Amino acid sequence: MKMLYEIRVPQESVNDQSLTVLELFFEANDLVKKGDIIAELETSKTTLTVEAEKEGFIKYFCKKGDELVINSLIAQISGQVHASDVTLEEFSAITRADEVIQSSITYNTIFSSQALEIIVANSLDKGQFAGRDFVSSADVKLLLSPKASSIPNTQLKTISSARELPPPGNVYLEKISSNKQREIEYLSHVQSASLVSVINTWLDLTGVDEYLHANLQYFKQTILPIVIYECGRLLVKHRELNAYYFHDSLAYYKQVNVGFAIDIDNGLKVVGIRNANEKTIHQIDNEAFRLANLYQDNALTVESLSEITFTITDLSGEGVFSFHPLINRNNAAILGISSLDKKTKRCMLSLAFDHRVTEGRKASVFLAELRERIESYKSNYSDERIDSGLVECSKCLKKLSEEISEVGFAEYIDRKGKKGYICQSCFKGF
Amino acid sequence: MNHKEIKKALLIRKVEEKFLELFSQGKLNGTVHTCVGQEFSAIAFAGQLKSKDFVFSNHRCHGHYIAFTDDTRGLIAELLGKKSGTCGGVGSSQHLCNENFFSNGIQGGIVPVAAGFALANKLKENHAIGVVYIGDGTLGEGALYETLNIISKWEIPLMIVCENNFYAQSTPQSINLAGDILLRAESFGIKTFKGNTWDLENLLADSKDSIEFVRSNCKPAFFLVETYRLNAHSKGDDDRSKEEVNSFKEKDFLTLFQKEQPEYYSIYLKEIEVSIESFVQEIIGEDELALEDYFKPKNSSSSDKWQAIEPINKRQVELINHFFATEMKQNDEVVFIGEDVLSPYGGAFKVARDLSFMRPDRVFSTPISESAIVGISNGLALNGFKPFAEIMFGDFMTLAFDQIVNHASKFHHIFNHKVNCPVVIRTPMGGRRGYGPTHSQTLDKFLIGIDNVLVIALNTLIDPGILFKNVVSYQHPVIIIENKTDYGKKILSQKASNFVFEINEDLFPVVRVRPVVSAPEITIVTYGGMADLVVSSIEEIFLETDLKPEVIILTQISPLNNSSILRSVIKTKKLVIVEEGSAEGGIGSEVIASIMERLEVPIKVRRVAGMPVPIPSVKTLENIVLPEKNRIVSEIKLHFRNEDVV
Repeated sequence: MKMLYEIRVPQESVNDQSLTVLELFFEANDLVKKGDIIAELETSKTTLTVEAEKEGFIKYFCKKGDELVINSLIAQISGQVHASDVTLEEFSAITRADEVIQSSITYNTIFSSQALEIIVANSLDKGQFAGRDFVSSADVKLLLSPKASSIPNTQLKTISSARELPPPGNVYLEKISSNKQREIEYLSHVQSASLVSVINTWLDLTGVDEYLHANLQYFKQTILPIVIYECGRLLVKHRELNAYYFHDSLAYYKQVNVGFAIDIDNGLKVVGIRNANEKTIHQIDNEAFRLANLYQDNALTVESLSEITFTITDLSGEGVFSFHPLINRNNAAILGISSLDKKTKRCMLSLAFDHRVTEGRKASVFLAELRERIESYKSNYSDERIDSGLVECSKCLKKLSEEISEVGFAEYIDRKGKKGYICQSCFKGF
Repeated sequence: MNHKEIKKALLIRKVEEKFLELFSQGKLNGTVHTCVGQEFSAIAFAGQLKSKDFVFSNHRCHGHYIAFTDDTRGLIAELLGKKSGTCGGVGSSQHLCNENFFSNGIQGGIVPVAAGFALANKLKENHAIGVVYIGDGTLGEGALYETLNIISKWEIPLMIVCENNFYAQSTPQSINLAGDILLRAESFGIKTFKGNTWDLENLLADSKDSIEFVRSNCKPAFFLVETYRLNAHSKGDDDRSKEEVNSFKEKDFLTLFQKEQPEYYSIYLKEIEVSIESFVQEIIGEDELALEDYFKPKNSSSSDKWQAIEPINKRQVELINHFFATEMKQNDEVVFIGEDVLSPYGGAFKVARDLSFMRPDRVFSTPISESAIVGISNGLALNGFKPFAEIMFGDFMTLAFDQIVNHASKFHHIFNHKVNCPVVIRTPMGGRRGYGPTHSQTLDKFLIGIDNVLVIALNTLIDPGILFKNVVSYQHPVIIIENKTDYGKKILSQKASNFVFEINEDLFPVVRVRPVVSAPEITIVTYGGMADLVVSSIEEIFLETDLKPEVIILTQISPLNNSSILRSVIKTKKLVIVEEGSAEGGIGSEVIASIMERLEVPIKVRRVAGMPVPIPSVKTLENIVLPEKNRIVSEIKLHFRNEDVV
């Protein structure tokens, strides 16, 4: 039997794994012409017709009412009459949707609501539960417990499998610390997908250092607090960078927790400023200082280490001109801050991002906006700076230097055309 | 008047008098209803019958029994409660069975059963006919009139003999009988006859004619025999005037015979008394039936071998219909009987579609007479057929309840295993179609725990054909609970991923739905129409309750075989039963009780059930009153979430 071609179930809708045969328009061994409608199928949304693309004798491999999975055989069109060697029933049995599913028992991992809450709260990767049918909160808690290593975990195994190879003879082994192992695991997660891209931009810090000196209590040498502050706000808008790649989906975080990497002497740790988008620069300055101290004292809590949604790594103190930061697990991007070139007053901002989550153009927009925001600090505090002791609210006569809020005073023009300043509290009742 | 018949009448009288004597001596358990004075009514008809014919009788049946079977010894032993009694002593006075003789103590209920037995003879074309005896008291029973209508319409060869002794127990006819007795039968188009036990020549001649009429025309007849009970209804409960009783005693044939032919009388009397006395002496020391001969508890272990099940791309009702079409083509014993079942209509839910076209001789569309439908089915079942009675709505099962509980259920045991009654009664239960309070209720709980009656419930996960095939070969009464909304659903169409769907090897398999990999953490037991709902909610149950569910779906709900549930509950220690009927005294109660008495560890249990009110027609209310997805999920969540019970 010379076969001309096969007609298979088209993928009409991504939601449908199977289609129902509504009508078959020919009998077996009928001669069909090119363009003839040979079958009508039903998806969950619509019906579609299947045309013969060539002329020949038809043989159906389904019958009316059958459920066919995507890509299963509907009919063959042959140059000659089909032999009746295979019965219709035999074929319909093979192509019946549910039986295909049953034979392989494919299933997805289903998480209970409570399990999901804990997973999100602990920034866990759902992929760790691959192979499970159902994951309850008890399963997640088990993984989080100290005995977690006893839980089968395919991903951890993949990563650690290299260690099981015997070492070559010309080396000696020094065991990597468990901290470092965890770091490797976390960084491998995104980077191993090899879809990471990096974009860089120059940042003109002329005048910004004056702002830092004048306004920050602890971090006077680095722009880190204002970067955290501005990133916090920008990430609300650029939510894809406050997300991560999860199987076939994007997992968007509901919070903005900007982390920053600290690596002094106690190993690389990323600590997080939770809800950075809602905090003032002063609060961020304070909290970053507190976290750094905790790091030094080895007293960081799990909470400050977990569920970081975006990371910043600051190597500005290390004299680097540019570097490629590595994206943390369950993050879409990381921002690197290089050292300030003292002559040009410039430093490099580098954004590494997961190309599965976003793309270069979008990331560039984020980076450009971030640059503009950070650079805007200089304009206020270098050229046109007004002595805050001289500015006072024309309503309550409070001086700007006495103002404790972050907002400052607003300049206004009254009905008579006269300029003045007003503080925030008076403005609200103004 | 021949002496053979006179001797038989005297025998009947002396046997009954012996019973009263034994009773007064405390040697006879229970009660007796004697027919002293009425003997010739029994003899007149029994004399016309052939051995292939049958007799159905009532509580006052000794005379009918001796007249038809000549088994005096069996009767005496039966009343003395001995193993050698005709029914092992189980049935005693009112419940006798010997070959084609049956009696039962329910007024009126025997009439449709007798009609079914006679219909079976008609279907077999064996020209056998039958007599059913009722008393004038039975004229108050509705089942009688349902049957009169049907036997006339269907031309069933049954003789109804109404023995009118003018009293219903103690109440004279003037108090509770309206109109005319014969006119009642005549109004159904049934030929009537009338006679009395004082004009024996005519009684014998007319009984012969009437039996001949039934046999040759294959039609029913109604014979009113006026007679008089010379003894009390039972033992001493007699308020009739002595004068009245004595006046009948004086014209009683045996009294007259004793007067007119004293020599013969004393010869016969002596002969009879000797024979009765020797029977009594012989029987009195005999053994009674041992419990193990009467009842053996069945081993109720359920299979633990499971195999995966596959969807069937056909609606449940099509598969049931297909079963009948296939089975009735090859099996002459199967009879389909119910209301509106003729094609093209094919029954309210189309289960009978086209069956009457295919087997017009085996499909019977009945009047609205649920009691007669099941009674006739019982009679067919006793006489070699496999009747499938359809009760159009589950709510109407109450109208057939007497036939289920007092007849189908009891025959096998009260007749000491001499007969089986393999009747099948199918009915759709359940709401969600807006049919309202009398067409939506789930009355399953009233149908479970009936002795010797198997109750199975279809669901949308298992091919009903498998169940029906096993029902065909089952030898005792079966009630099949179907579900109105399930009829239109395809089998296993809701196969959720992440779960394995499988059945075990029981005759009526348990369906189990378990997680593919995980060990289950909660056992949900359900059956019938609720199975579809529970299975469609199973993923949500997990998502919301954080518990991995295993669903056990029973097809056999009574007698309950709980091994599969037990095996699951031992693992999960949490048990939920979801049923559509209300909780109190329901299936869930029974499941829980039966599980708890086999468990040594405490478990947490919960019944999720319909609310204890009639199902309202209002759609929103109906959906709230019946268990629905959200309620099932929230009740489980409320009672089991985050709880470590043990």
